Order: sequence, then C-alpha cells, then structure tokens
Amino acid sequence: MTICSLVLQVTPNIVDSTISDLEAMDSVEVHAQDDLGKIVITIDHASRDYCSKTMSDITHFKGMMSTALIYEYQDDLVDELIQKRTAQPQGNSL
Amino acid sequence: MGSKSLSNKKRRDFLRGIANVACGVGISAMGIGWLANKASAMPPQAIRPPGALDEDGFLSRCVRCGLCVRDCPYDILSLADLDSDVPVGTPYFTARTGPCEMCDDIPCVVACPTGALDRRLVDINKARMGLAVLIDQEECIAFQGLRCEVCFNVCPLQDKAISLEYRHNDRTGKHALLIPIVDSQHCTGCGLCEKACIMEEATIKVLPAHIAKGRLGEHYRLGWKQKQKAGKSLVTPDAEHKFNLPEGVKYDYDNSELHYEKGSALDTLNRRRGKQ
Amino acid sequence: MKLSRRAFIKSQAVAAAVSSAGLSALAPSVVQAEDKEDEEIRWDKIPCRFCGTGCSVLAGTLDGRIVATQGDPDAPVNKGLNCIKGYFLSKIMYGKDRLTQPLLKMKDGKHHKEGDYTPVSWDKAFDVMADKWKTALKDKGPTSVGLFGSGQWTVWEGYAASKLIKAGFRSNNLDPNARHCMASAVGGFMRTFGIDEPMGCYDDFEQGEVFVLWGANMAEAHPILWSRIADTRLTKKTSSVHVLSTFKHRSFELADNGMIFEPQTDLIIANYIANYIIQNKAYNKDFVKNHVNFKKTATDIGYGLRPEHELEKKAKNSGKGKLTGISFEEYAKALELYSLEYAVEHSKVPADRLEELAKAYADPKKKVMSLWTMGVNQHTRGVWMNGLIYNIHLLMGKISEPGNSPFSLTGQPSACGTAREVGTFSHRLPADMVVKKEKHRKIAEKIWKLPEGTINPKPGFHAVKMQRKMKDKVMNCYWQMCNNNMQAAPNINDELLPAWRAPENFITVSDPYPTVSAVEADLILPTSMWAEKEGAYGNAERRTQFWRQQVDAPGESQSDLWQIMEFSKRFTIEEAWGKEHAAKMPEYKGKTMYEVLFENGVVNKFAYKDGEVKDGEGNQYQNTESKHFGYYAQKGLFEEYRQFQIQGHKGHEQAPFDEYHKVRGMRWPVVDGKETLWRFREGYDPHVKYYKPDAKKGEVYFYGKKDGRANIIFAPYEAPAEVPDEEYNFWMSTGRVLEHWHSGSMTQRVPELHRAVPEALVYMHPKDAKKQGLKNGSQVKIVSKRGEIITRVNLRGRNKPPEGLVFVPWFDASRLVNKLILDATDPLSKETDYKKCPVKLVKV
Repeated sequence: MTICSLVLQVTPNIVDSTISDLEAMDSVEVHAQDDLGKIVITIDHASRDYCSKTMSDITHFKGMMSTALIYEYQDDLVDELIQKRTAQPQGNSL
Repeated sequence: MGSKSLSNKKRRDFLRGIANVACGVGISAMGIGWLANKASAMPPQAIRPPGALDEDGFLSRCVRCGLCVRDCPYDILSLADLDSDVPVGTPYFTARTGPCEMCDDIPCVVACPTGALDRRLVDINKARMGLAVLIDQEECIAFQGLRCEVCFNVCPLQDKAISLEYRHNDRTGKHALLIPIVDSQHCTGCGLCEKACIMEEATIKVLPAHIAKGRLGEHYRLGWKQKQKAGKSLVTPDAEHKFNLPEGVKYDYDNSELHYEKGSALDTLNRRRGKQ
Repeated sequence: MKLSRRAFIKSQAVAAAVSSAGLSALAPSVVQAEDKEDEEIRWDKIPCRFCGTGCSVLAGTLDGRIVATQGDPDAPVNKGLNCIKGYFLSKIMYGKDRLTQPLLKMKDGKHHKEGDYTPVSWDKAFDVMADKWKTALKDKGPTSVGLFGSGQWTVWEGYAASKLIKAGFRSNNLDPNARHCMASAVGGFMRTFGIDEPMGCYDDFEQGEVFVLWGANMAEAHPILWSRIADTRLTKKTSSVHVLSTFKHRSFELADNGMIFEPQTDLIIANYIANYIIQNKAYNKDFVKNHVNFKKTATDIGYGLRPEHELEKKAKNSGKGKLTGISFEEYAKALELYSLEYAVEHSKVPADRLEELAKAYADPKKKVMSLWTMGVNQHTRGVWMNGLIYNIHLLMGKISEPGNSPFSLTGQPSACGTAREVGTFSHRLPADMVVKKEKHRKIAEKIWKLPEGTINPKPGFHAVKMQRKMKDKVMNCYWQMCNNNMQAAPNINDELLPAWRAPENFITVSDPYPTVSAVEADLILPTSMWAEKEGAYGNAERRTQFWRQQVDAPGESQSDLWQIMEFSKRFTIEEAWGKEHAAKMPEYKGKTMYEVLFENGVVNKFAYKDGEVKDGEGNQYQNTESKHFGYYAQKGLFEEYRQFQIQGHKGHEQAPFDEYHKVRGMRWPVVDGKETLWRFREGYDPHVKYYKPDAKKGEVYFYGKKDGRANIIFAPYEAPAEVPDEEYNFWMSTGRVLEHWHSGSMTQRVPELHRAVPEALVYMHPKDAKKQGLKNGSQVKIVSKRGEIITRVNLRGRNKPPEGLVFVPWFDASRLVNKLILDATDPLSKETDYKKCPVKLVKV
C-alpha cells in the first residue's frame, strides 16, 4: 500500500476545472484548496508504480505550475515497528 | 521519502508519530477501538499550550518541532513520547505538576512555526487551554465549611475565573461556607488551582474544554443574562401595576414583597402572628 | 479495519500537506469565543404552554419561526426561570408529524368509517361535518351534538365555544377536559364560598410558613412554584413542609413531615384535624361566629357510574349534593368519631405525624398554606375533600390574608382562565353563572342578544356522560378540540372506543398532531397551536396573561377559534334553533348562526387593520383570525365576555383588552385598574365594601354567599368505588412526571424530553416486586377489570410506593393507562378518580 500527499499549484482561474480533472482520476482525492490556486491531494494505491505514474501525469496537466510531494507512506516501512509494538504485553498505554 | 519541510531529526519524530497512529489502528483491529480517536483519546490531564487550535486542527498543523517546548521559560511543556497516550511529538503540560504560568508575551505561541498555536492569541487572559472544574464537591473541604480557598487565592484571575460564593452552613447554623465557583467566561485553564489544591488528590482539576463544558441548547437563552447584556428588558416592561391593599400596606411589585407601615394595625397583627 | 488504518494514514498525509502549503483552511481557534449575536431575533412575551403555574417566557422569532425561548426575567411568577419542559418550548410546534391539512376517513370518494384518511379541503371537511350535525339536530335535537374542549384553549376560544354550543346550538353539551382535572375544585369553591377560584395568590409562598400538600406532587407537577416553596422553607426558620400522599414522591424530599396514607383516608385525616382543633378549643371563635355557617352534606351518594350499575342502585342518595344546616355542636359531634386513634388505624399514618400536622393547623400563630391538585380532585369524594380542607382553614380563620391560604392548584395553563371562567362546563355560563338559574340565563341571553328561552335550562352531558351517551347512540356528533381524550378518559375499552367507532357517530378531532384520539376520528382538523395565534390564559392565581401571534401555522392549519367561528357559518339560525324559536327574533330571519353569534355588533365591533397588533417596541404582528374575519375577533370576544363580569355577580372583573397586552398578566378582580391579591377581606378586596358597605377594616366577607358567610360542610368518610381484592391485589395510582406534560402530545415530540423519559414505568415497592418474582426492569402486565398494559418495573426511581400500591405516570401514548381506570366519578363534580384503581400484576 502506498499513500502520498502532494501540494499542487495551478493558476487560480483553473482551480475548479483542475479539481474535476483530478477527481476523475483513479485513486486520487482532493482534500483542500485555496483561492490562490493551491490544491492538496492524496494518491492512494496498492502499487507504488501507479502512484509515480499518476504524479507524473499530474505534473503535465495544463496550467500546472508546480507539484510537490509532501508525504509518502509505504507499508514495509512501518511493518517492522508494528511488529515490535504488538509483540509487547498489551497495557493501556501505547 | 518525507516532508520537505522537516529536518532529519524531526523526520524521525514524525515517523514515530505515524507509527503510533498506525499501531493504534493495528490494535483497534484487535478490538480496542478507543485508541484510534484523536481528541477524545487524549488523557484529560494532558493540557495543550495556550492558543492551541481545537484538537483536530491542532494535530493537522502541529509539526512536532518542539520549539514551543524549547521556548517555555518555566519548562512546563513536554513533547509526548512513544509511551504517552498523547499523539507522539506533540506538546502538552500537566497542571498538577506544572501548570501554565501565563507569560504575558506567550513565548510558546510566538515560537510556533505553523499556527498550531494560534498567533492571534496576544492576550494570555483570552487563552482557553482548558477549564477548571471543582470536580469532587464531596471531598472539597470548602464544602465542609473549612476555610481553605487556596484555589481562589492562587488564581491569576481572582474573583473573575474563581470567585467565592457565601452559603449558609446548615450544620453549624452560624457559619458560612465559602465555596469556590469557576466562571468559564474567565478561566484560562492555566491549572494553578489544580497544582495548588491541598487535597491528596486535587478536587479542582483543569479539564480540556470539550470534556469540561456542557452547552446550552441553541433554542434557549437565560432570560436574566440576556436582559443584563442588553441593559434593558427585551420586551417592553409592564405598564404600572396597581393593587387593592389596606391602608398602611404597600406591595413592592418588582420583588413581590408586602411592606407594612410601622405601627399599622396590620404590622402589629402580623408581628403577633410570628411573621419574620 | 484496513480501511480505517488507511484513512488514518491518509489524514496524516493530508495534514502534512495542508500544513506545508500554509493553507488556512481548517480549524477554529480555541480562544475565548464571542457570544453569537442574537440581534436578528425578535423577542416577545408569551405564557408557557404547559401547566397551570403560568410562567412567562420570551419567544424569539426569526424568519417566521420560533428559534429560541428564554424565561422572562420581568415576569413575577418565574423571574426568568423555566422548568425543563419550558426549556424546550421552542420545539413543541415543530414535531415532524404536524398535521397540515384536513383529513377525512374516506372510501370510494365518500366519508366512510372504515375508509382511509384522505386529504380534503376545509370546505369539504366542514360540508361533511355540518351535514352530520344537521342530520343529528333534525332527528334528535340539540342534545345529539356536543363539543369537548379544554383548559388549554385560549380565553376567547373557550368563550366562543360556549357561545356556539349554548347560544348557537341550544345544547349544553359542552365540557372541557378540565372535568377530568378541576371539576371537584370548582364544586368545592361553589359549595363553600359560592364563587370560584382561590382567594389567595402566589405571594402566599413567601408570606406563608407552613405548607401542606394534600395530594399534589408539586416538585414535578408545578416545578417553578415548588422552587418558591423550597426557598421559603430554606430561608424562613419557622417554616415547615407537610406532604400527604398515597406514595412517596419527589415532594417528600423537602418534607419535614411526610405522610403516606391509605387511599381515600384523606377524608378521615381532614376530619381528624378539624376534630383536633375543636377538641383543643383552638378554633377561632370570633371568626366562626361571624363568618361561617355549618352544614352537612347528603351521604351515600354513589360513584357517578351508569345508573344501572350495582353501586348506584345500592346508593341511597345517588348523585345528591344537598346541604342541610346544622349547629356548631352538631358539627363537633359528627367529628367525634375521627379521633387520632381512628385516623391512625385507617390511614396507617403514625400518630405523631398526624398530630404534628394537626398542631400546625391549630397553632393560631402559624400561617398555613394548603395546596392540592389531582390527589384531592380526582377522587370519588373530591368535592367533599375540597370542602374538608376549607373547613380546617375556616375553623381557624386562616384564610383571605397573606400566608393563610387554602390554595387549589390547577394543572392546565388556562383551567381557570378558560375552562372555568368563560363557562365551558356543561352546567355553566360565563362568570360563574349556571344554566339552571333563570336569572343567569336571562343575563346571558341579554348580552348575547338572544330571544328569551334560547339557553337550555338543563345541564348538558359532562365528559364521562358524553362518552356514555355516544355509546348509547343518544349523542351522535362529537367534536374534540385541544385535548386528547382517548388517552385521558377512563374505561375507554368499554365506553369511548365503542362510542367513537359506532357507525352512527361522527367524530371530529382538532389537533396539531396525530394523537391517539386523532387516529380514531372520522375527521381530523389541523390546528394552530400556542404562538401561532393570539391568545390569553388564566393561571391558578387568577392571573390573566395575553400574547400576540408570533408565527404562522404550518400548511392549512387553523386555530380552534377560526374553526369554531367558521363552522357556525354552515348553519342558518333556523337550522340551529328550529323554526319556531327562530321566529321569536324576526330580525335574525335567514341569517347564519355566524352572523347572529359573531357579527352581532359587539364581537365585530373593533375594526382590524393588518399590522395593527404591535408590541412596545413597535414590532408588528399577524393576527390570522382577525384578518380572515375582517375585525379584531379576539378583542370583540373578550370585551363581550367582560359584559358578563359587569352585568353578572360582581367579583370577576378583568381589565379592558388592550391593557393586558402591556403587562405580564394581572390578577382579577381588577377594579379601577387595581389588581386584587387577596379576596374577601376589606382593604385587600374592594368588593367587600361593595357588598357590605359598613364592613370594618380588615373584615372578612364571603360575598359569594348571600349572607357573606362561608360554609363549613361536614362530610364523612365513604369507601372508594372499588378496593383491591384477592385477585386485583394492588392499588394503582396514576400521576405526572416533570419531563412530560399531560398526554405527551407535545413533550413526547421533543427528542430531548423523549430521551429523558421515553416510557411510563410502573413504580412499586421492592418487597412487592420480590413476591411477584419481578426485578427492576422486568416486563410486567398491569391488568384491571377493564384492560391491561405492558410496561417495565422500576424499583429505584423517583416514586417509592408503599407495599400494596403501584404508581404509573400518565403521558405515554403507547401505554394507555386510562383504559384500566373505572369510569367512577365524584357524583357531584363528575370528575373521575384516576388515583385508586385495583389491579393485578402479571409477569411477562
């Protein structure tokens, strides 16, 4: 599982159309926007390759001034930690 | 990969936070769902620094940088670590051991880079970190008539945030109870009262507002408060009332009281009948 | 769970991104919140819709809707406070199931008892209804139609109804639900004082010292008044509270002297106290000599059941209320039986408690206020019991002055103002007059501009008799307004239900909501309520309070007043009166009943212009009825009603209409603009001088009676109609809870109140429960000879009955506890006893 979040910057006049284009894409969700053309999205897909490809597609949207990857999560990174934690006796505190 | 705005050390803290959440989720899969809820899962004794946004907003803004902790001159703030119920890396204080001293310049808010501590808070008296609640009236010795008033005495907004209400002591019949009353209009939730409380376990405690506060239904107002606020009756006061009364008797309409002229027959009569 | 884990991670991802982007989207700040401004809201005064206390509230209107209320800080009754029902007043009009159009049971396009409810126009609704009424009138005369009204009607609605039935239809078949509630109190007042309603007022709560509750749970049923008594108890050292009841309830919390007595033995206790006073020569000799007559009442008077009932046939003086003069000595002699030992033996109240109560009454220095409601009124000897309490006060002369006050509380917002004062009882006319007396009929006929002999001298059918007469097909057309009799009337399985379902009978129910009554009606008329009309209520202390129409009613709803007046347009005066009688007044020839009753030059005297109704701030208010009829109908009706106070027996005067809109009520009699707080005492009450010009300062004169003397009426103990036996081995009493009002048709629609008390439970003693194999929360069937309900047991709640008695609150439409109750009434007041019903409990 891969989840990543991005901040996009488009020209303010095409925010709405960009959002509808984004929403039409598989596994993409729009979470926030502002009047100046900033848009926050997540891409959430089983395949890391799909996420990379989607990011790249978005980068080439018309009017896209920048895309910044803010956050990426991958299963294998935390699995280790989870295992470590759940192996401990279970009390109230985490 | 990680946030471009985080340094390496912070990134580690950040990941610990994620791990914490992820573990919470993992455990909730085993049936312990309560851990998964953010604000409501916070231990109630953990109080956020002044100006903190509401818990959802705070968590979405706080980048766990620790600058507020660094800048607290009284060193009361801590960053939650992995073993705490507070989301990892976020700042909090515990009133009983270290209450907020309410610095005038609010350095923790100034230090916050993301607005998780709201920069619009410039008057510390307007901070609402939590609310003091006299949580155990059975044990509080003021309710027994003992003269304590320690919480009142340490309150930085004395007579506003905590005032004393004088009540008759039915048991002794000749003393007053001095009962501390918290006014949420003024209490900042600093926790000095909780720290000072002389009881083995504090009977006055600061709780996060969402736990401490009830809320009046939107459909109701308290009439006398509205009147006070408006400075007059909301609906035109009555035309003058007149009453049929014997000579020497006056009826005070506003207070629904009868007044007998001294020495009038009725006055004598009523005194004879044991009227107070 | 994978999903929620994913959602979490995603929220972290979003948080990080939003934070980096510096988006200021989310999150309110946790700093001191500014109060939301209410500037847009228009506030106006209005009395509470619920009990007889008469609290005033301020209703806040925004965009045609009441969005908020607050207790009125300027109101002397409640000073800004409300009980929990009052707290939710703004929600009572907005239940999801408000009725918004007339609904007629129809099949194949026609009215049919077995049909489905079908929306119809008002025209069609009244066409069908008037047709049924006309047929009944033609076939069986005026006693075949009737109207069952309410102590929740506004003053003018009750007055218009009284006029419609008594003058319009020449029937006296008009009764209010107050028959189930206050009729015994009225009977007590009329027999003892010859004039209705308390001599004291709420100021007695502060002026009094000793408070005695005779069958009233004020802590729940009159919450704001109770907090006034509680405050006096807390602040006045010499004060004490005595509570009498057949089970322990919330009012016992404040009781210095709580007394649980065997049902019906209140008659014995009251007589014991009178006996104690006389035995100890504590009575006020001057007062008794100058202001009292002694009487005894006819005994063995039956139980107001159908005449063919065994108990009625057995009774020597069934239904008789005859009073015979006796001497003081004879009175004292009659009381001798009621010794302390006798009282203890029968009431099971410990001797020291009874004595403590007797001493409080007998101490000439103690001011005593006695209070009662349904425990005394809903009683097969309710009129007697009212009288026995007055006896005690009269013996001591503790009456008609601040703090000394026998005070009959009311349960409805206008039980006094409407049900009693404007003559909505089947035997009454406005201002305490009665149809039986020719002089009274003549005054009414003069004011109403009717030919002599229009008003029927024979009292109509009272509430319980109406249902019997309908079941017997003597009365065929029944209109119920502003109450819920299917949930209130006793013994519905045997009487009301078959009566309403009989194919010969046509039942109309006017209500804002589909109550259990409405769903049994042939025709349902959607009705405006409370703030949706201009109104007036009269509370328990003679306080008349007005309000302006705040909002419009939903859909096609119309007020009871509109319905009454509009319905009268459907009849020519000949159809209503018969040709012969109509011919006595040729100028009415061809006119409609509406024209005769309401366009009579008095009711329609005041022109109405839209926007004319204003408050002190100049805000304008609607008046739907006046706009519709083209004149200020409420004002005209009220001013015509005032003529009864002026031309009838003096003592009931109210101020002119316009004065009331300027105040939070005034207490009548209002003479020369002055209100009266205490009646019958010179100085406090101007009528004393009027009736007795040489009255001395402070002299008492009971001017309701010709000789100015009140009656001390001896009445003995007589057994209740039914008592528990081996099979039906428990007493059941019904009563109230704080959270709900009456049948719950309003409060049960407030989600918060419904959640607080969703269902009526049966409260019982833990030992009884154990014996029956019941636990707290067990389901149990409560069975009487007439029906059964299923509910759950409560052993820990607010009511703690003694062994042998169970208590079930009355409000729950899903548990019609009224069907268990025998239709036994006080034979004098015709009020049902809802407090003493033998039942058995069956575990389910």
